[in-house]
Amino acid sequence: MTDNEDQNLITRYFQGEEKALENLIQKYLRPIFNFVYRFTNNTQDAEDLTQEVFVRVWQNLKRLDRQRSFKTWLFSVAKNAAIDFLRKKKVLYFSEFEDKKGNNPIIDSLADPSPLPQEIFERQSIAADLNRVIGKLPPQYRLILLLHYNDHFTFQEIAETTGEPLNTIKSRHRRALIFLKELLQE
Amino acid sequence: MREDYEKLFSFLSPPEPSPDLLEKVLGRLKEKRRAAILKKIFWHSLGVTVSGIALIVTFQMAKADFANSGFWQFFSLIFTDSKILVSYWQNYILSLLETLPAINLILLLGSASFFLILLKYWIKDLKIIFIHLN
Repeated sequence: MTDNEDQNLITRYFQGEEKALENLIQKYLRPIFNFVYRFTNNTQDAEDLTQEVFVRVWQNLKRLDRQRSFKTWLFSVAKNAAIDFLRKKKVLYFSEFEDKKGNNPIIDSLADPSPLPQEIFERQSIAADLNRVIGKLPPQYRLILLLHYNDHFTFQEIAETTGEPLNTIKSRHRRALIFLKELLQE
Repeated sequence: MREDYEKLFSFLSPPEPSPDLLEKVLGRLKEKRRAAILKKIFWHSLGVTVSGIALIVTFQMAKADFANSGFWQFFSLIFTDSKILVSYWQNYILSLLETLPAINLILLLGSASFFLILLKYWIKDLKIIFIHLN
């Protein structure tokens, strides 16, 4: 439904209806802002980055494969813009233990994370703690967790967004949960 | 989806973007679009100028060629000796075609086409700038 709605807006924009692009931007403005904010941790930078994302979208909209979901494409543009931003700021750090294929032999050997202790949910400062630990996560882990739990992407959609194999996403998700749990318990 | 983590992420409090963020995004797009159109206008203006000059040159060349080839003399027979031409129309047409400066005519039509096409784009870009991006 959303995909059809997006495709319909894109078609109308290409037919000369300027308002259709505005509607499309309005629809995704907040999710993209929230998404990039998690990489910048700064409202002003997130707003600049949101603008950059939509400029890139406008510049490349003609090249979008219409068979592909607009939503996953949009988030992949946002992801790339966020990575470029972190590179410019020189704060991009990937896990030292992760190989080129995205595998981490140390964390892979660990068992699935057990359920989060109830104590975490009872903390007064849970929102602040979560914001803090999300900021500490390596970008590739942050990306998966935010897309999955915040934007409700399926693993398949995340794989399409990041351009990585589904199994890599699944195992990275597992590692991200372990990492997040460790940070929350620190 | 892991329910415990889903619950955890529901505590994530996203910051409020400024209320004019949409306007900022649309303004930035307008700026980019204007810059792209101005770039196009520059290249189209250059194209219109070059093809305009080419049109004038090829027109002068075609005019001189028409004058030298005797085409107009043959052509004017239509008005002076039309009755004879009706009897020998096949020969007349062949003679007329032989005197036609074909290469210059093709060059003239080619440069005129380029000029008109580029002029069309140029006017279209100007229209976008003045009507939609102002």
